[in-house]
Amino acid sequence: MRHRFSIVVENKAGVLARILGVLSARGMNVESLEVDENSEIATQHAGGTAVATGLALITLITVGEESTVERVAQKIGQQVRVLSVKREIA
Amino acid sequence: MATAISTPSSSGPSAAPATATGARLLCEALVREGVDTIFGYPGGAVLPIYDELTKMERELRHILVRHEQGAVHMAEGYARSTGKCGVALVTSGPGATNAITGIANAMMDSTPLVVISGQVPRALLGSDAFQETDMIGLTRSCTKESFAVMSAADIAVTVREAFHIATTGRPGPVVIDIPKDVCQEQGPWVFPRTVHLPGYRPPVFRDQEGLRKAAELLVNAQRPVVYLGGGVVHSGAAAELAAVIERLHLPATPTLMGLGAVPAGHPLCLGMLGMHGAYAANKAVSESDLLFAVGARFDDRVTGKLSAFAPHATIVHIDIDSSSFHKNVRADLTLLGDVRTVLAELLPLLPTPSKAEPVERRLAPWWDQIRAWQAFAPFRYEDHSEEIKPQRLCQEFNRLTKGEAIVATDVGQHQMWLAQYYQFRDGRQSITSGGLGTMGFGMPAALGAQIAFPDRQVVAFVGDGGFQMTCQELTTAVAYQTNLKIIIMNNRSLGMVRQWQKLFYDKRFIAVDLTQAPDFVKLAEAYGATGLRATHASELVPVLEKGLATPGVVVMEIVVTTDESVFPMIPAGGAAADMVLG
Repeated sequence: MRHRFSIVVENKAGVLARILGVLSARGMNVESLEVDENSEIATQHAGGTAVATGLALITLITVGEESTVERVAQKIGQQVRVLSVKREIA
Repeated sequence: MATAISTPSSSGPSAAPATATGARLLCEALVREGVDTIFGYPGGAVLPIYDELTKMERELRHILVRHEQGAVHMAEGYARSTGKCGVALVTSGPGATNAITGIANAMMDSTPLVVISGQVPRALLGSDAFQETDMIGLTRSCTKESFAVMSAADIAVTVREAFHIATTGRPGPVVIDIPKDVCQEQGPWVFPRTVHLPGYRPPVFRDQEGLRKAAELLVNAQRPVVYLGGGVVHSGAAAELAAVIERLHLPATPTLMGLGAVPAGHPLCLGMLGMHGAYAANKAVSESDLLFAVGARFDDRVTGKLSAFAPHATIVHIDIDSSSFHKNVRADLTLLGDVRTVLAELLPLLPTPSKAEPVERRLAPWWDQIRAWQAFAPFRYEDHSEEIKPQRLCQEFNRLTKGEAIVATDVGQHQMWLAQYYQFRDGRQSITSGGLGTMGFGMPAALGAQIAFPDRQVVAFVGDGGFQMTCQELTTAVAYQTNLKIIIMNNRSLGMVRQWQKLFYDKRFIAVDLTQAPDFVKLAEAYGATGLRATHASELVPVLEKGLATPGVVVMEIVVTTDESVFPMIPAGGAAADMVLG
């Protein structure tokens, strides 16, 4: 199953690598990836402009079993620089 | 200058300079965080930090180790025995890579740690400079967070954030990587009262409805078992846990990491569960109708075959880490929060004991069954009149230290026998490498605990294999005039690997024979320690008695039976029903 993750993060060096590490450690590949500093979702999270408060929205699509993807979502959510994780069937 | 600083969070009048070098700001910030001991090893990239340490020897004691792995394990032993955050300082490149085993160990066992690594100057980053390595990249998967500090102005704030992350929520290691020139440049002293980490919110327990359900399940269960792990130790919840189990007369079984959190001699304690756990504990879990998991993570060494683990039980899981929920075993009820808080709030919801209906009566049939299992298969072994049996060693060691020593182990047979036979009374007495299973952990970890508690009996209980991985730290133990005791359970082999080859590979032994080894008594003496050896059963107690009572660092080599397996044993991936009693 293809899953789309929408992840609001602190826009700092190394954050994307940590998130991708959670996926690659479980043998999961990324099919598509976007990092958006001006995303509305990130903006809403910050209660202002995303860039001003240093947030960004990472959107990525990956393929995996439901149980694995759930664990991955939990693990990503646990990262210190991650504010929220949403996932849906892509 | 830093002597005026008393509490970690004080931001009152400070003698700290308005501006200072990055190295100075780092040391000031460490003092503010309450750090008094740093385990480290110098090198080019951290020379500016070491230079500052010469000016702060009263506030920050530096322990010079002999290998960076030793530094991190000592910081872990210090943290595990005290409950404080351990601190290690290493240089860039090989210093940093040598520290990684310890960092990964701390991650698996949820040990609060801050590891400061030097880095090449900013202008050289990414140029394959001398002693350059990407420490942030290397430690990404084995830290809670890692910081690359690119400006002296950020140092103190980073230290504040690093300690907050390491010590709150589910504790763990944090790396701070600092380029050399950042330590040399001037920066302002900024030490905020609070940290701003919008993505980091350690859970606060709020689930009153869940708590009521949990209380109801506990009160109505016919065959309940409390399964407790290292989270009880980390949160300091032993008293709350004892109150809960005593209120309802609940059987309790600790994991390896939870040993001592319910005292071994407690009448409600069934002993450790899992692969080499007590028969009664594993049977109780597999027959239970309610499994009440507290600060434990359903590790595969505990559960074995998942589909056969507690198959009849409703599962309640209390943990501070939501990613532990449903990871291996699906829980019916989860309570997210600090286990001490959850247990403290649970207690008033449980019925108070009444004379009319003593709690013992309701669970009497269940306890009768458990007592029968305990009588059927206690931990046992066949003693020998000449050879020293490793189990006998553990029993005598426990007896002679009255179960009161702080004991650190490596991984393997000695670790399992000690877990079975040593009667730990407190969770902070047991310092073992549970998750990562690190050979060579025990001796430096014990030394870290001994440095934290110079007047307590601290013993490294290690195997001959593990000891040879980090024995250079004997020098450190001697140099700081400690009273560390080291018991080497010498079976002249890699015992646990040998056991698996014996049981699962049809006795095709390979690469497990450690007969070729140094003379451990002479080795101890070469390091300036006292060396003793017991090879005959009659020598065991005299050598332990003498060694434990001799001041200074003492190595006791106890030569035990080689061909001895740890039982009971549930083969990897097996169920409690597959338990081999030996």
